[in-house]
Amino acid sequence: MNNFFKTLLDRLLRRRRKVKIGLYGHPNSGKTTLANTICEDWIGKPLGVISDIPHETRTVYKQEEVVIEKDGAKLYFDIIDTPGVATKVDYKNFLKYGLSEREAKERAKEATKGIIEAIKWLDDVTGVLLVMDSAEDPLTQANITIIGNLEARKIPFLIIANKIDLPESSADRISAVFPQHTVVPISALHRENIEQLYMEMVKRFR
Amino acid sequence: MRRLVILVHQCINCGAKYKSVAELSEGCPKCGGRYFKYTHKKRREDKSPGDSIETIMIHENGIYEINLTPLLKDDSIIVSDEEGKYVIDLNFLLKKNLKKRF
Repeated sequence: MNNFFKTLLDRLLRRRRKVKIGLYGHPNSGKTTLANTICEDWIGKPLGVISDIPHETRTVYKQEEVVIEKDGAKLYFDIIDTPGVATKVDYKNFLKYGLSEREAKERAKEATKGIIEAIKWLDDVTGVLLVMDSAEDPLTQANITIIGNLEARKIPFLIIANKIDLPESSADRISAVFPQHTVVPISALHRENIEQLYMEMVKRFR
Repeated sequence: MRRLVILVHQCINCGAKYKSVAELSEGCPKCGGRYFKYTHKKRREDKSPGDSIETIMIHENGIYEINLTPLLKDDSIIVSDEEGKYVIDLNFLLKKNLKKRF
């Protein structure tokens, strides 16, 4: 109810609403790569470090005051890159990347804390880019749970079918699983279809 | 880190170790010896509650340890049976946050 009056007051006073867009998704789906692409395009510097090892982002990174301008329309927002959301974290998965057992266990612990932190940030975001690896099966507990929760909270979101440059990718599979939501196929790494993403972002979150 | 010490009865004659005194009523089941000393079987390293993030630790099937600190602080359920292996109940966490919001 408080939000309703705040929004009404903002509109009456023609105040610009603070938009906070969170990047959510599985570990290694390309959230930080996408955050870096957006920040490099509109701020001129990347946001975080990327790596092949899952759970590289284990804490929330934020870039304030990003402005996207598309066809004369502007979207002002803060971008929030969150750690990958998973239901299981096993240190053994990190050993194959050359980490010692101690390092892998510490990474697993930090990754688990990061998942909790990412979920808590859902209270603060006003929009979400749900990033999925289009080469992987999108029908996972984490994806379904997040989408259900975003719907319940009435948080607008876009599904990003990332990694369309991979031969085994299929953005259509994601569209087929979530037909009621907008799916934007992109390659954050190779900047494929990024302009379309900016257009959809302005349309959805402005 | 703290050490967990398990005390056992050790047969002086053959060195076999027994957790329960009930099985020694007829002497040592191995050699029949009647004299035992009270000693440590093994020392197991255990984490202090401040180090751990899991709310439920499964020591073995049927033996659970509940860590109240993260449970009260974070409102999250993280189940673990080994350090570095965690299962997170996303639904519980999301529902808790959703209730707070409305």
